[in-house]
Parts: sequence; structure tokens; C-alpha cells
Amino acid sequence: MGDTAILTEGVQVTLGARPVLRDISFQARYGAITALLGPNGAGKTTLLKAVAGLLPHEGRIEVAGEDLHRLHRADRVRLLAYVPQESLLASPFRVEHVVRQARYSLRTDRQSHHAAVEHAMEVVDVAHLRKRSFTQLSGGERRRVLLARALATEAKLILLDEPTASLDIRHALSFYDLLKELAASGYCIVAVLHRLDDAARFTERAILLKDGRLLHQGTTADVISAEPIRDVYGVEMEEATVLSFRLR
Amino acid sequence: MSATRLHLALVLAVVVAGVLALFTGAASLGDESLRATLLQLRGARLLAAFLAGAALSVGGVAVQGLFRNPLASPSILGTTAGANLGGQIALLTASALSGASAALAIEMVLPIGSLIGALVALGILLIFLRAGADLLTLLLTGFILSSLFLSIGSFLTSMAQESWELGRTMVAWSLGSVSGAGARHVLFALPLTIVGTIAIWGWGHALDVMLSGEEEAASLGVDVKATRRWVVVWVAVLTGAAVSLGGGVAFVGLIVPHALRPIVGAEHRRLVPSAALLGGAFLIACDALGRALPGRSEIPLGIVTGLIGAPLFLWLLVRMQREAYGG
Repeated sequence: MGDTAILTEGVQVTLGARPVLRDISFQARYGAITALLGPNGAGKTTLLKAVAGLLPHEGRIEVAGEDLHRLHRADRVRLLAYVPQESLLASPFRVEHVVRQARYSLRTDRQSHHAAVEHAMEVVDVAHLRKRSFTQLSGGERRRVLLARALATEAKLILLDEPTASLDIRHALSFYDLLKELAASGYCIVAVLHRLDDAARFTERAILLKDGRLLHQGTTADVISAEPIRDVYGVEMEEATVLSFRLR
Repeated sequence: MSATRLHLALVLAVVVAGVLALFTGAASLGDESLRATLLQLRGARLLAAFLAGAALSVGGVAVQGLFRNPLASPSILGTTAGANLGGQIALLTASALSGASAALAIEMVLPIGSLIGALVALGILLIFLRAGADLLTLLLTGFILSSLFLSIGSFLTSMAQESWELGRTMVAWSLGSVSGAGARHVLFALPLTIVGTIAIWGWGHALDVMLSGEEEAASLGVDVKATRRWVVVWVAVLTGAAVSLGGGVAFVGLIVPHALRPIVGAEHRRLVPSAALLGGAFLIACDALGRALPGRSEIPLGIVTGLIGAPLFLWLLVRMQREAYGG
């Protein structure tokens, strides 16, 4: 496996008759968190879903060097995992059952399934919740369980749509710490983020979208700077006005 | 409760309901001259009730999972109404050709007609599914098909009133009853119910993942279109089998999965066998009750399930709301 987790060239997504993404080319690498940024309606979630193989696209998307168009469902699950902003899951499944769903399409022996599920629950610190019903968990716990389900696929590319939306500051910080640990251990994390201060603090690289086009990409420090922000959001960036917090 | 204990308890419920059903009715088993005939008739009838209850309950589990809606019942797809209409058309056709069809096993006209009706409804659904219909379109198609088939069925029933006997049979059919079911009906529906139940059990893991929504399921490697298509096919087979045995029997497919979820959980592979057993026991008991209640003749099964099912369903809903809001 090379260093490049995602490589896109000239990606276009059309929903109905409306082009939502146009000519998107970017790379994301293993061992780093990449933020997908942009105003509402920029196409961030659409891009994430296209990379996850959930939307038909034109152009080229490679995941770990494999053409997404040619990947079988099970192979795609081995390479990437997608965590939506809000899961529709409202059934009283036990947490361990939810995490085990990651193994649905993967054909290995029972021991490998068990080991992957246990490891994922340990890493995300939800093993103690294994017998609890998913519907009785708090928002933060649900987020962690869904991340554990993504990790249990053993894919090294995790796509997250607004992972800290609806989390309080403590849970959000704790979640970002977890993502940083995962990136440090070799995962490629690509996350749609709304808050620029979060992106500035927790991500290494950023992609800035507007109206379905990629306008800026590079290190987060370069992307979240006066000119790109003015260009994309139409606002002026002020120095030293960003609030900052840390876990005690 | 462990799965083994639950299944043992449910098997016991089936046995108890079955024994009660054998002893329930206007004639007594104490009469030696009637005993063998009564046992044969009531035995076939309780098997028919068991199979119809099992098929409808497993169908209910499947559609509630597929639509992620605990208020869904197998009739939601329109295949139940299609099977009912198929039975009605078969009755009318058999009546018109009664002289010529003497050689045909007349008792099999109804089950074959209802299965054909269910398959025609299924064919229409599959045309929409092939065109890429989503769950909402599937739901609306099922609703429209149900309305259409029920309207045509009502029209046929009103036409049949010109003949008193035929009209009575048509009305009895639409009310739901296993009173006319014999060994042939049971043998006809048995493989359909067994295969349909095993198939839905087989799709259980996919249905579990589909409860997270189709997009998440697809991201976890579920073939969403195939799951949708095959679950619809097997639900149609199950409802066709159930209607061929007992006509329109309401509420079973709705309340049995509801009643089991708090005990068994939401996993489909655990729900399917439990639903088959509880649904079977429930319908055997309802059929026996219809025979035990005072009256000039027995109360049709569909009426008994409605009378029991509606308040039971309301109670289950209230209990679910209380649990959800901690009231």
C-alpha cells in the first residue's frame, strides 16, 4: 500500500440534471487528517459520498491505488469506511451487534471477525458499552460506536461527515483526540468539517470547496488563511480571534 | 431470556394452543363415531392456522425490517390484496365452470388462485423495482395496488350477491377463515411457508444492516437492490401461502413482531423463528376462540384477529411510548 489513500482526477457528480461537483482533483494520504471545508451547499458531503462509492460519478477516483469503479463491494469495504453525519439506526441493537455489522460482507473466519470487532471497540473505548442498546446511548457514545463500526472493517481510510456535529465541547475534543491518534497510527481520515477553528487545530491538510468546485487545497495553515477564506466565504479573517479549548 | 428457553416456551404455546383447538368445537371428541373424522378435520385446520400465522408473522418481520417501520405489515406491498383478489376471481371462475370443472379438485381452486394473485401483484412490484424505485415508491406502489385490488374485489363480491351461495362464500373468504382448509391446502402451503421462512432468515443479516438506512448499508457492503428485491419476493410467497390457507387475516403480521422485539431484540435471525412459532400459536388460538364463542355459527378468523389484534396493538404502542419517554 502506497502513501496515497485517495486520488481523484476530474471528478464530476450530477444529481438529476444538476451538476453538483465539477472537475475535482485532489489527493489525501495515510497518516494524516484531511478536512473538507466550504460553505453550505459547496458539495462537501457529495464529494465524501462519491469517494465512498455511494454516488455515481464521472472522472477517476482511486482508493489505495484501486479504481473505485472496478472495486467489488467487499473490496471497497476492506479499503474504506464511511460514517454519516447522522445514522438512521433507531433499533435497539446491542452495541457489539452494531459494531459486528462492519463484517457483513467480509469473508474471513470467525476468530478474525471477533478480533477485529473487539479491537475496534477497545480503540474507540466502547467495549464497556457492548451489552447496551444503541438507542439508549448518548450522542457522543453513538458517534464512538459508529466510528468503532468503521474501524472494525479494518479499512485504513475513514470518511467522516461532520463527526462532531451535535457533540458538546468535551466530547468533541475527545473525539478529535481519537482521530489524531488514529491518523498517527497510519489511518487516512477525511472529515467534512464546518468549523474552521476545529480544522485549523486538528487537521494537517484541507480542501476548500465552493459551488461544487475545488478552489484551494494544501496544508490547513495555507488553506485557512486570509485570501482563500475571503475567496470562498466572503468574510475577512481576523488574527487571534479564534477561541481555543483543551481537555483537562 | 435465552433463545433456547424462548423457543421452548413458544413450542409449548403452540402445543397447548393445538391441543385446545383439537378439543374446541360444537361436536365432542367423546363421541367415538365422530372422533377420527373430527381429529382429521380439526388437525388439518390447526395446521393451516399455524402455517398462515407463521407465514404472516415472518412476512411482518421482513417488511418491518425492510421499511424500517414497525407499523408495516405484509399487506403493505399489495400482495395480500392481490392474493385475496386472485382467490375471489378463482371462486367466480370455478362457479361459472362448475359443471366442466368437476374433474378438477375444486378445493384447490382457491389456493392456486390466491397464489397466482400474489404473484401478479409481485410481478407489478418487481417492474417498479427494476426501474430503480426507492422504498417510498415501493410503499406507494404497494398502497395503490392494495386499493386497486380491494376495489376490484369489492366489485366482484357485489356481483356475486346474485347467487346466494356464491355471495356467502365470497364474503366468508374476504373475512378470513381456515374452516375450509384440508390436508391438500396444508400440503400446498407447507413448502411455500418453509422456503419463505428460511429465505427471510437467510436475508436476516442484510436486513439488520439495512436498519441503518440504505446508504449506510451500501457502505457496509450490502447489495441493497438485491436485498430489497428478494425480500419482496419472499414476502409475496409467504403472504400468498397464508392467504391461500385463510383468506384475509388481519393484524397477525403487525402485532407478532411487535410483541417479540422487547423480548427477542431486533436481530432478524432471532426474530424469524420466534415470530413463526408465536404467529402460529396465536392464529391457532384465535381460530379455536372463534369456534368457542357462543353464536349460531363460528366467528370468522379475520374478525377474531381484528378484535384481539387492534386493542393488543394499541397496548403495545402505549407500552413502547412509555418505555421511550420513561413514563
